[in-house]
Amino acid sequence: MSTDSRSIVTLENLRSVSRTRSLAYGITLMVLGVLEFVWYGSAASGLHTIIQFGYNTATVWPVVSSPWRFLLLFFGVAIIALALRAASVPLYSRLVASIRGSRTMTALIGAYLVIWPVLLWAGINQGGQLRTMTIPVALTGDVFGVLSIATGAVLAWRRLDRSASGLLFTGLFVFLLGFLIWVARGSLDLQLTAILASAVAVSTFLIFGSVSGTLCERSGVVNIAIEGQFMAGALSSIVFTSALQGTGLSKTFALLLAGLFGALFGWILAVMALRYQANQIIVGVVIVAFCTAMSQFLVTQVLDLRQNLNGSYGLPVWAVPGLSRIPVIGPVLFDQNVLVFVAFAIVIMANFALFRTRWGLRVRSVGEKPIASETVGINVVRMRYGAVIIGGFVAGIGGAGFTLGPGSPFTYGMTSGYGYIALAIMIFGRWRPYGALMASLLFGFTIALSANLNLYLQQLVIPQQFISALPYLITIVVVSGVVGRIRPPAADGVPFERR
Amino acid sequence: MTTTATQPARLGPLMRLALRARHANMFIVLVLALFVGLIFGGIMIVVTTPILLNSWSHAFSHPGATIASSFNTVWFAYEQLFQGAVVNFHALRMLIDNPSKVNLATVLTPLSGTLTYATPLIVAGLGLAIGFRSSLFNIGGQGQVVAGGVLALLVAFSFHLTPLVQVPLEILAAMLGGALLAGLAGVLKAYTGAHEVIVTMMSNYTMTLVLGYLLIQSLFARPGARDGASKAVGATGQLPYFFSHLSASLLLNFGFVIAVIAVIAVQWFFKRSKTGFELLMVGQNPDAARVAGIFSKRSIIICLTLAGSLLGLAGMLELTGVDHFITPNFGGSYGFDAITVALLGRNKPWGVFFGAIFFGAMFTGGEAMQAFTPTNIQFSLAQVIQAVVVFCVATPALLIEAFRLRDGAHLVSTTGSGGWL
Repeated sequence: MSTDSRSIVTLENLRSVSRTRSLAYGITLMVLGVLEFVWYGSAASGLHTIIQFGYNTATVWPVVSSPWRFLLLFFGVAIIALALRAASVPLYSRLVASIRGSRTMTALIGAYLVIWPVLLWAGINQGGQLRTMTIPVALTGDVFGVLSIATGAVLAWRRLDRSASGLLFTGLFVFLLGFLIWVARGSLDLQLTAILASAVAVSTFLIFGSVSGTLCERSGVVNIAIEGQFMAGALSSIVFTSALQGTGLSKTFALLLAGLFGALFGWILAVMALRYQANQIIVGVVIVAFCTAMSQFLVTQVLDLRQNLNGSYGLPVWAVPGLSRIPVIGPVLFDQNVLVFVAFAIVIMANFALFRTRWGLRVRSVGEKPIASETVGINVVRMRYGAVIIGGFVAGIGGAGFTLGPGSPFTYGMTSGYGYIALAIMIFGRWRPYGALMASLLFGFTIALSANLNLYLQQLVIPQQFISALPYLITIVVVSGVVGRIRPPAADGVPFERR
Repeated sequence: MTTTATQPARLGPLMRLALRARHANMFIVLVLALFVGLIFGGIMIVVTTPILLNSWSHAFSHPGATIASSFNTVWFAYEQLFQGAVVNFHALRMLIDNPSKVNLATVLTPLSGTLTYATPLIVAGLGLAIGFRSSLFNIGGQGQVVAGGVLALLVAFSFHLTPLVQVPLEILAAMLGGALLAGLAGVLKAYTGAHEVIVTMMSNYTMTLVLGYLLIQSLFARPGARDGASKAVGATGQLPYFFSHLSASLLLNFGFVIAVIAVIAVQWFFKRSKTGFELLMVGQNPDAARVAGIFSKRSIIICLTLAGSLLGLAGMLELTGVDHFITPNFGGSYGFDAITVALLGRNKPWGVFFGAIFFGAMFTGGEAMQAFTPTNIQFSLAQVIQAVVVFCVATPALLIEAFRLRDGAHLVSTTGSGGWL
């Protein structure tokens, strides 16, 4: 509601905004770098951390099990990729470019492929059953710190616009990685792969929630009821699966049912917000209150007495053939329960729907300037209904991830505020599905980190509670503009009155 | 309209009353909301009680018996709810037959429980209502209650002064604690545009963790406590009970008076003070307020600070009135209930007052219902009913249309939530 966000959008304004953002990101990175240098770098020089990669030569994909094969793979892929890219230039704008961030993905995979042989040579113990790597703590801190400071300085000085957020994400990730290495120094092996895998699993809910929020808010409706939709989805899916004892297609239908319950509350929100033009935040909060009370009542009144209706049924874990055997990335991304793949698919679908289809253009226009949309013949209310109900469906499926994902029964309060964190993630991701995906992964990493840190409690100078508070504190920092000024859809939360 | 205006004399008084009842006002909306909530709760009872559910399989052969058994169960549950919250008829008869201190205490117990539970809720609801009145959605009640409680506790066991000094000192400390936490959200909102919903929500979770940390520090922890309880408030720092001479179970305390004073103060603040008027103006039309020369950043910070100080006060009332020590789940769900209380009271001070008493009644009555119904209907049913009632009251347009009420437009506010920034 500040005056800046209402100023007229001109090219010069936008440029200055993105430059300010780059400056802010650069300064943040430099601060992180100094922290790394001073904090991790000051560890005693003899200290080492043993990182465990969680695979051995028997299970890993044969092609990369030796450096030479790997080099072959790397250069082969690089040459083929370059050739493909050169050949696909006329096609790029049409097909490949429709998946936004494909170039970023290529760069990420490329970086991984560059780093991996270095890791292989740098000190992976060949003798053990599981591959491990010994890293000197102080040196890591120094290297990470210097790299981070240098990148931040470039970003702040040159005001790079395009690469800013990617670099910030990488910088934050590296900071957390450094923290892990510092925390696990000396004694226990650092279960890096396991932590990353649980980070991806945790971020599933956040992905669903933030994509749901993105869909709703792009159409101009604030959906603060995501927390309630999570609860509805979590409860309904586990009860349905348990009633059918997990047989046959029951889990698939349970996911659909969870989605339908989410959509039901989305519909209620839509009716109140669109038909009766109520304050959307109030409606959302009341829906959450209703879902909280209702879930508590059903758990204490029914499910506590009939444990067979609230069992432990997990979605099947699917290892993608081939891909799941890549070291580190395989178990993290391609050996997860089915919902994780659904989440990735939904991000791609939501991005495509919002930015590449007629429907998406209309949804966005309705969220930016409803009167203009109305003038050209778009039914504003109907578009918003559609977006909010679909958003609710997505959030409901995400809710199923709380129970069916890890295969645990429903307990009261198990959503623990992830619905609200998802909203912060949506803001962090700038109301874009891919941004939401990246921010979710970062938050998921923080959450998994705080959950895994009790292993290393004796190493910790910081009390455990403060580590657990990390996701929440980062959320505050994120929304308070460290990520630069953000611009929500212009008509976000404003009821539409037909004239 | 025209029929009632031109032919009033022809209609009997009952008919006129019925016509009046169809004109929407807040009272009728409240009654209808309660009605809808109770109906919904009744359906929930029937659906979740296996015996009743089975009886509905003979609904066509024995419709009367089926409906009667369901109705009786629901009626009995609500009777327990009412008797547990307001007054127990059996105890009342005992008192009339045999007036004695013990019987008087039994009669007063439900009402005392209701008002005791409502006391912090009144103040917390007022705090949130201040925010909502100026379109600031502070949902960090939980964290601010905890912050207030912690600082009040710090004062309570650090000093041992006379109650006349000690209690005001605790009040100040608690208000400071809540104000600092909410003021932080205000400063962030004013100067960086961080949305207060997310900041305050996150501060809730953070404060819960901070509380967990503090309770294991030697400064706060009670030596030898198994449940993680803190040191207790000294005798001079406690709020006095009203009826301690009757029975030890009557917990109504001086905090209720403080809550009433707070209601009057907030009423005065919005009706008479300049700052209150400015806050209202910013809430209703920020553009007009800016044009009129109201510095919106300043009013955001003032508003959230005031709201936070009231929530901190609620924490102090909870601490010094009832528990006298802090546990890891201090404050229960006061912070979230206060949101719904504020919505139920439509953000008006006396509305919040009665809304909080309604919540207190539902809580104490719900516990009685859980204890005395044969199938132990869980007290969270009361919260379900509350949620439905609040849903209906917060969005009266639905009720107005469903019951075909007339002239309801003045109840329906179409103010936007204003988006995120």
